[in-house]
Amino acid sequence: MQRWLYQVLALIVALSLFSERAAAHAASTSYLELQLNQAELSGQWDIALRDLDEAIGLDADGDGLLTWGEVRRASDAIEAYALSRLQIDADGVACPLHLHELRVADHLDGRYAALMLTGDCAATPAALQLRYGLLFDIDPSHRGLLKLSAKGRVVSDVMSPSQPQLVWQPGVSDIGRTFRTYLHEGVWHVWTGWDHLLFLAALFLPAATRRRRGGGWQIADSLRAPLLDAARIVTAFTLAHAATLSIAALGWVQFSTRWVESAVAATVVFAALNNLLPMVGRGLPWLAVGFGLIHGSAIAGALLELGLPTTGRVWALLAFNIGVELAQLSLVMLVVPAGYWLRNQRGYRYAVLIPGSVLVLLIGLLWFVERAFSWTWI
Amino acid sequence: MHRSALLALVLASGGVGVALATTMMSYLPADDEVVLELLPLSRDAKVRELHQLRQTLTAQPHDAALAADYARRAIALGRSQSDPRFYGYAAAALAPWFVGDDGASNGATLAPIGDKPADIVWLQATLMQQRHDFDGAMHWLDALLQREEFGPARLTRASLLLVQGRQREAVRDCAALARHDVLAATTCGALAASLDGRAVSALAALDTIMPQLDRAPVEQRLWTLTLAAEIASRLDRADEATQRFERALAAMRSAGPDRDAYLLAAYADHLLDQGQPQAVAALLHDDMRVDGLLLRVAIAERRLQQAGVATPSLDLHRQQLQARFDAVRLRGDTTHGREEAMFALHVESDATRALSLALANWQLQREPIDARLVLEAANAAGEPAAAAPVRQWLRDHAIEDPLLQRLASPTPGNR
Repeated sequence: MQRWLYQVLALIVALSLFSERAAAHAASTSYLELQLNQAELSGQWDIALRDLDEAIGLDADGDGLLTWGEVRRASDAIEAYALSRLQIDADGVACPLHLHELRVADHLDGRYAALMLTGDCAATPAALQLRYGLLFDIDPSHRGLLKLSAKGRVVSDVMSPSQPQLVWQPGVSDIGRTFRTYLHEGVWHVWTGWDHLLFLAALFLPAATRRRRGGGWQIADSLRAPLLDAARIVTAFTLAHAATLSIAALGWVQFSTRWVESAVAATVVFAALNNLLPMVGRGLPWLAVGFGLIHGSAIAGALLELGLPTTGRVWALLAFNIGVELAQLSLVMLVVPAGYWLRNQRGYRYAVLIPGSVLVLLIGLLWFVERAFSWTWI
Repeated sequence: MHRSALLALVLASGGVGVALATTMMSYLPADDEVVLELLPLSRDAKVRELHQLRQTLTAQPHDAALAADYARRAIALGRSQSDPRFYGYAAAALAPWFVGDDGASNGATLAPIGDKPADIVWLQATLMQQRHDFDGAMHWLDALLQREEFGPARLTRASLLLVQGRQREAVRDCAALARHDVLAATTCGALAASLDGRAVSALAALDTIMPQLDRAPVEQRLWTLTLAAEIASRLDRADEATQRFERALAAMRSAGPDRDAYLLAAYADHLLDQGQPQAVAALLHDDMRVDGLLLRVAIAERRLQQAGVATPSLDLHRQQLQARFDAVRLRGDTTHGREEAMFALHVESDATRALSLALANWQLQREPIDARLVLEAANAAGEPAAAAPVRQWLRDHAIEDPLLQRLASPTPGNR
C-alpha cells in the first residue's frame, strides 16, 4: 500500500517537474564527441533515453517513469546496442570501443544517456574511418551530430542514412605542421626562383647610388634614406603581391600562366632598364605595386601546384606569404647595406651597377621572348 | 587572430588528451530512484499500440497494408503531439518502398512510381511536406494522381499548393476532392477562395457546413473552425474572430487531451494582433514543448516587456528558442524558417536578420503569415523595396487582408 502511494507521489512530482522543464519536442538526434590522442580514443556519446527505450526497452517495470536505477542496470544492453551501431577503423583496422562509464546528460528535448567511451587503435592512425548506424532502422530522420578531434584539429559532421560514414585524415593538415611546411615553401620559392631574385636585385642595386635623370649620380649620405626607400618599395610590393597571391591561390581568379610569366620577365627588363636610363624615380613604390600584382600571381602558380589543404587554407596561405616576405627581406638586407657601403666607389657603379643591370636586362629580355613567344633557344 | 593562433598552437602542441575531453556536460544522478524521463511508450496507449504494431511490422516489413497502417498512426501521433519523432517512425515503415531515399531527395533522385501502393506513396509525400521538401512531395503526388485518382492525395496536393501561395492551382484539387469528402472539399475550396478575393463568400460557405461538423472526425472539425476564425481575423472582424477561435478551442478541449498546435498558434497570433499578450501566456502555458508555441509565448512576453510589465521568464524562453533553432540547423533541417524570422523580428528586434530570414522563407512558404513577415521586417529594417516580391504576390491574388494591404502600401502605418 505504501509502495503504491509512493508511486503516485513520484508520478505527480515528476509530472510537475516536467511541465516546468518543458523539454522541447524535437527530431531524434545523438551527439558524439571523440578525441584521438596518439592511438587512444576517448569521448562521450549522448543518446536520448527515449530513443534507447524505443529501441531496446529500458522501462523495466513498465510504469512510464524511467529511473536512474533502470538505466544503470541496463548499462550492458545499452553498451551492446550502441556500440554495435558505431564502428571506428584506424587505417583499416578496427578500434574496439568500450563503455567506460554511463552517465546522464540534459538536452533540450529531455535526458540522455551519456556514454563515456574509450577505445584503442593499433597505432597512431593516418586516417580514421567512422561508420554510424544508430536508430536509422526505426527512425531514418535520426541524425548523429559528430565532432572528432585529434592533434588540435576538429572536424564536425552530420551522420544520416544517406551519409553514414566519415573518413578523416587528421595528420594531413595539422596546423602547426602546415604552417611550417608552407613557410618553408615560401622562403625556398623566392631563394630558388631566379626571375624573382633578379628583379629584386635590379630594384635594389641602385638603392644608395642612383643615376639621375639627365645624367650624373645621386649618392645617399646616410643609410637611413636608402633603407627607408627600400622599405617603402618592399612594403608596396609585398602588399600588392600578397593580394594577388591570395586571391589566385584561393581560386577566386585564374591568371594565364603564359601572360603572367611574360609579364614577370617584362618587369625584370624594366627594372634593369630603369637603372641605366632612369624613367621612374620617386614613383618607384607605385611601380612596385603594379609589379607586385604581377609577381604575386606568378608565385600563386607555385602554391597552386603545391596545393592548399582543405582545412587550414588560411594558415597555409599566410605561412606561404610570410615565407616569401622573409626571403625578400633577407635579400634586401644583403643588397642595400652592401650598395651603401660601396656607394662612393667608382667600381661599384661601373663594375657592379651598370654591368649588373645590363646583364639583368639581357636575361630579362631572353625570358620575355622565350615566354611570350614560346621560343626555345638552341 | 593572435589569440586564436596561440590557441591553435597550444592545442596542436599535444599533451591535451583526455583533459581536453568533451565540451558536453554529464553527471551521475544522486541515487537509483531519481526519475530521469517520462516515457511516452509506457504512458500513452496510442504510442504503445504503435510500438506493438512495429513488432509485427518488423517481422513482415514488406506488408504494404501493415506499413501504411503503422505510418498513418505514427503521423497522427506526430500531429496530435507535435512531436517530430513520430514522423521519423513513419518514415521507417515506408522505407522499404523508397530504398536509398532518406528524405534528402532535393527532387533530383526520385524514382518512378511504378506500382508502389497508393497509400504508401501518399504517406511518403505527407512526410516530405512535413519536412518542407515540397518539391519531393509534389513529385510523388503528381506521379500518383497521374496514375490514379486518390482522395487523400488531392487534399495533400491542395494544401501543398496553398502553403506555396499557389491558391489558384489548389482550387482544382479541392474540387476533385468533392467526390471523396464533401467537408474536406468545401474547407479546402474556402481556404483557396479566401486567398483570392472571395473571403466573405468563403466564410459563408464554411458556415453552411458547420452543422455537419459535429459528426465529422475531430481533425476536420478543428480545421474548418480554425479556418473560419482565421478568415474573420484577416477580414479585420476582430470580435467575430475571437468568438470563432473560442469555439474551435472548445471543440479541441471537448475532443480529449490532444492539443492542436496549428489552432493554438493561429489564435495566439490573433490575440497578439488584438493587443492581448497576457492572454497568450494563459492560452499556451502547457504547450511550451512545441517550438512554434513557445515562440508565441516569447513574443507575448516581449510585448509585455515593451509595455513595461515585468517578464521574468522572457530571457529563459529566448535562450531556449535560440538553442532549439541552433539544434535544428545543426541537424541540417530547414523546417523552422518562418519561426526563426518571427523570432528575429518580434523577440530579438533584429530587423535586418529578420528580413533576410523572412525573404529566404518566402522562397519556400507563401501563406499570408509569410507575406506579412516579409513586409513587417522590410519596413522595420527601413528597406520596404526588399518586399517587392510580396507586393507582386498581393497584387496578383487580391488578398483581402486590410493589415497586409496597409503594410504593403508605400507609406506603411505604425504597425
